[in-house]
Amino acid sequence: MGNVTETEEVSDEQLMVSFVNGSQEAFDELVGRYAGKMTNFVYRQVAHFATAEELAQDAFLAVYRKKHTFKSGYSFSSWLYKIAINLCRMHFRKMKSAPPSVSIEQSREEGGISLEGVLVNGSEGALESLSRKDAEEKLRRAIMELPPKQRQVFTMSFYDEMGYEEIARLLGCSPGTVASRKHAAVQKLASKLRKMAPYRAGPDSRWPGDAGAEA
Amino acid sequence: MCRPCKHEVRKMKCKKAQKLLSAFLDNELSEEIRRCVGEHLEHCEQCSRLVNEAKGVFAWAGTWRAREASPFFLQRVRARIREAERHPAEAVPIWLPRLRRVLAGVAAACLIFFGGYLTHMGLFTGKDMSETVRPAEPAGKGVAAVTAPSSAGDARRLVAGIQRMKMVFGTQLSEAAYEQLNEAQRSLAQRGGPGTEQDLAVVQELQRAEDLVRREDYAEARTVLDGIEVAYRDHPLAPYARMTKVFAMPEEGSGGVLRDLYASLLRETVGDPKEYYTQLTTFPEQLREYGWQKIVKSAEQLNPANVLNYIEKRIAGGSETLLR
Repeated sequence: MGNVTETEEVSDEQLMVSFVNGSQEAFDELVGRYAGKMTNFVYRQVAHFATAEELAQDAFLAVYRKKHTFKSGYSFSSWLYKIAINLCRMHFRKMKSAPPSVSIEQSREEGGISLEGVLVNGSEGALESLSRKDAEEKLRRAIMELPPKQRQVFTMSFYDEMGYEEIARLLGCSPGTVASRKHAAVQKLASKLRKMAPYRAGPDSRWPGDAGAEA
Repeated sequence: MCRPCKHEVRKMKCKKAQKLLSAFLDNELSEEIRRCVGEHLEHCEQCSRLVNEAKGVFAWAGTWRAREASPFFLQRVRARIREAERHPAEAVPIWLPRLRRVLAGVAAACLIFFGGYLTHMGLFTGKDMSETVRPAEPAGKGVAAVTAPSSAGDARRLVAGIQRMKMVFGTQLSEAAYEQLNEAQRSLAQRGGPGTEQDLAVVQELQRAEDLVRREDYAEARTVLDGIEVAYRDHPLAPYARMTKVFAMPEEGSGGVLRDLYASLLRETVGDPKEYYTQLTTFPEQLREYGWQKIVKSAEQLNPANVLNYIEKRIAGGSETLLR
């Protein structure tokens, strides 16, 4: 019995059980749920979208081939991220470099770009589309220039919205190490931001964990 | 006003507060410390400014939009699966073709040993491959030609290739790699010539030593490994023989402890790479008991390659002890 119906109500772990029991639909559903997440997660590590797609596909190939090693009670998401992290590590070793070369278009070096629209108003609508593209390209470059371990922690914390405990478990380090790497990454990015444009952070600037802050 | 708290963070210095800022913004602090950091920020303009800078970074980071996965993503995954099922020996990970080009024939001999070693130490997941070595058959397509290494550069690339192979710990890639190893072994068995015979001899001796380690006959294993170092001193696999001695150290003393710890870890996590990485979290604590601060530092980063790289460097550098 492997048919999966009403897949929105079925957890990832239940889908894995169905898949292990022979349900191809369950595997397809898992791929559908995580294709975007995995691709973007890897993309933030390797900076090349086509490579990121390949590695993300490799991750699901690994899931398919090693389905019997998945233990019930474990988080499928954590297992999948762990596979992806290992694939990224091997990719970097193959490339023998860090950070990897960035395939984004060269952004204009002359002049600055104005981030004040975003940072003062906290609203992306304040940016012209061209400025936003510049900002995104400079951001990607800045993140790719972070040391790999800091980049991993920063992207997993900010974009994948993982807690420090989960990141620590996936990367095999302590939550304290996660905290210091995140802090170091933020400092480095702040330094790059200072060089790019004067700014003020407004009250609407997005930050995580803000609800009910006493500060 | 700041209520007294056991951390006395009314007097929290900026240096301490600044280290906690990211965790503060991520809501990762305990309630008590979070409150105290918040109270510090109320009175510290410098740290408040750093908080605003961090918020600016987060706003900037938010400009990187997630991209949609290809609409053909699932089809491509299915295609990879079909290919892997049709041609398991050819469905290699993206790094393996590059590795093959670099390592060539003697590297293949090295991989045979390493694959067998990993198999016996239980690092290949899935079925136990140790009993499935096939008798020599005609070599299949794509098998690397066997050539003897000709330079120190080849040897270094070989050792680097071994280290990269170590990163395969616990992944499903090992099955495809194992098929490659068998193909290379068949090719080696087929060819004749002095260079190839020596390669095969070294590999067979290494496999014998590895079997002895697995059976915990450490003294005999050390004898075999010493013999390799003497007879094949200049062979590229000689450094690997030295590294293997880590797992055949005398029972007495700290070398034996390291061996026991690591072997125990491998036995406990046979066939379970996830558990292997999880169990490795206890490694630093156990090592710390024996005062191995340097290894502890590497192990705390919980990258198995860091630990092994450190050990390899010590061995390759001629050091007989790992304690310093």
